[in-house]
Amino acid sequence: MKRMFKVICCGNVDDGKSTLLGRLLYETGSIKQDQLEEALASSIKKEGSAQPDFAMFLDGLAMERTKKITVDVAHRYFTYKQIRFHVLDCPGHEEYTKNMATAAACADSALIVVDATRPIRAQTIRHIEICALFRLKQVCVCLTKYDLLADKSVLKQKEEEIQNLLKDKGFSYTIFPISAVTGYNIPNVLSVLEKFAEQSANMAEKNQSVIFHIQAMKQLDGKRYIYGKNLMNHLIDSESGKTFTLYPSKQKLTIAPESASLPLGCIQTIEPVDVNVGDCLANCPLMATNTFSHRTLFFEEPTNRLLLKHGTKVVKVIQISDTQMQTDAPLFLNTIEDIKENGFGILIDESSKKTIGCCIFTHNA
Amino acid sequence: MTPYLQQLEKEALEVIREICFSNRLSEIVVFYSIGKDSSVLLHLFKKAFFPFPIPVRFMHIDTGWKFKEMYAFRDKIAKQIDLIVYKNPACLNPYTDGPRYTDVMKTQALKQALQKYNFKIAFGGSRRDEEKSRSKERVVSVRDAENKWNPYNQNPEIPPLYNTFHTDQTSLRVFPLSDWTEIDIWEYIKHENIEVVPLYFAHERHVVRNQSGLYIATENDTGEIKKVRFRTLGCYPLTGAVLSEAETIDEVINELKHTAYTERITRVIDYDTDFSMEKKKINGYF
Repeated sequence: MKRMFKVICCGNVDDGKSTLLGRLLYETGSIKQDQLEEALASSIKKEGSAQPDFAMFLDGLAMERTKKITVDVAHRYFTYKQIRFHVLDCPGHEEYTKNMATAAACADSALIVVDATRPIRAQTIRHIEICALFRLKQVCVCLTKYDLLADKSVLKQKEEEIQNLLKDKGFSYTIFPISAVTGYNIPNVLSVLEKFAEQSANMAEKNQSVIFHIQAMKQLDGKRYIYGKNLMNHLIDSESGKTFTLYPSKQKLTIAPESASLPLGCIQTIEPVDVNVGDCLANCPLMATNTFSHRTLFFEEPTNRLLLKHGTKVVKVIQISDTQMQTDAPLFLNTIEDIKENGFGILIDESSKKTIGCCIFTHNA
Repeated sequence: MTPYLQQLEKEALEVIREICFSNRLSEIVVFYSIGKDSSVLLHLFKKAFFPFPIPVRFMHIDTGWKFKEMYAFRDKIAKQIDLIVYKNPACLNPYTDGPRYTDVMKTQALKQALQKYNFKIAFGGSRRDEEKSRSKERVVSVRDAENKWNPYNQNPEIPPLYNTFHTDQTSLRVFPLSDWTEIDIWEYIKHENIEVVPLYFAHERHVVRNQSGLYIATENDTGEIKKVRFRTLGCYPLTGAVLSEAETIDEVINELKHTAYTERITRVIDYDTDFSMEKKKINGYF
């Protein structure tokens, strides 16, 4: 089995996201008999239909079922052609855009669902913009409800409209009609996802950057154990003998061979150096700065002082304008254009400790 | 280890360390239910802090109605870790007290225990694939002052950028195994050679059949001998067995690849009302 591949499923409310994902789960054998019986019972009761209500597999909260909308992200897993997919089913309602955005931030690619029978909605355009903001590389647009489309000739025009929305955003994309209800083109969706997963794994493999955000250092019998989070596909644990730059001191540190036999995310360095939580080890250039350009998505209006968490470092926000931010201590970051994984942080309300925004580091705005 | 299993392990270790290193250790507890997921969670805690001992306490919420094999296993594990055993003095009976039993002996007991020891951060081995309301759960999940979950207004989360803070008015539940499936758990148990309760493997056992399934026979039951195993472990009157030939880990994995049913089918607790797990979670259950 290969590495995991994270896909979001997004688009406007009622365009058929949960139904499509339910169908994919069903087609890949991820739905068990007891879940199927439950979905069948529901559709017979509600609509007198003998076809399972595929969306039933996804909407997991009582209010989602009664209102027939998705409020929060549902996480589901399936395996296809030896690839393990982690799908994040996103809400389409404007009110719950924050949940879609957080899912987009950690996804590799997107399935964007557009109802073929209706004009394109503002929320679809918004979701495409958020996918671009978080530098998703691959997008598969599914024109859903093909079975309900009386005049198939309108498809071409719809495809052009969508191409116009997707172009110049850095995506590689594909657009085609589907019907989750009849199963039309569902095998195509799966083979596109398979291709995306392969491409994404190849890109990750080629990328030699290693970034390690330090969580703690502990000493035992004169040895220093450094614990942290590997941000990239390549792990610092298997870089024995290689030299890394420690931020903020810019010291050069060599990874000790013992690191390979320690648990993941725990290393030793040859040079006996003390490190602190929030420091960072990297083999690629990082910007060590407390002033930077940003684009922030606020999930709710900020009313108190803000903390910014990036990597393992938490700093206070001193000044914030629409495009610039200043913090009380430096962060070790990249712009989202350069290294997506190191290109954003979360904003936390200092008093309620709620996560109220996502701050994306950009080139000069 | 396969790349995806290594990725699951890496992500679990990261969240365990991040939460423990950025909070007071005395306010952290790991819920230990004796089951396979708890065995994996315990193993991950050992790895996370290696070569140091696990710096936080574990706690078993006992009901008095677990399988005797589970108690034997727990007492063996208790020699390796700092384990608190808490039991609600109300001592209800699953046969006669119905749905109140789970509420009082599990949910209320859990809340009493958190309060008694002043724990503010509780790790658990729940997985998103277990049940539909769990598929909506965060890895780091905020609870209010009454330990209640608000599924309709959760804290936004972008792993691995975890918000590790809580306030006087909130506490945290942390689920490092969120993205693991039942088969992942078994593949990992196999790879890491983790010990689990023998009830997970098929053996000829004395069982009784009722309308909801096969249950371990008590002294008063006549019952029959069947070759069965348990996919999940809980209180024996509420935990069904499955007919099985799977005596080894490899056979368990093979069985799961071909099974027609999810593991929750063997648990009475989720099936008493629709959305019962969501309701239990809102009230403070794991």
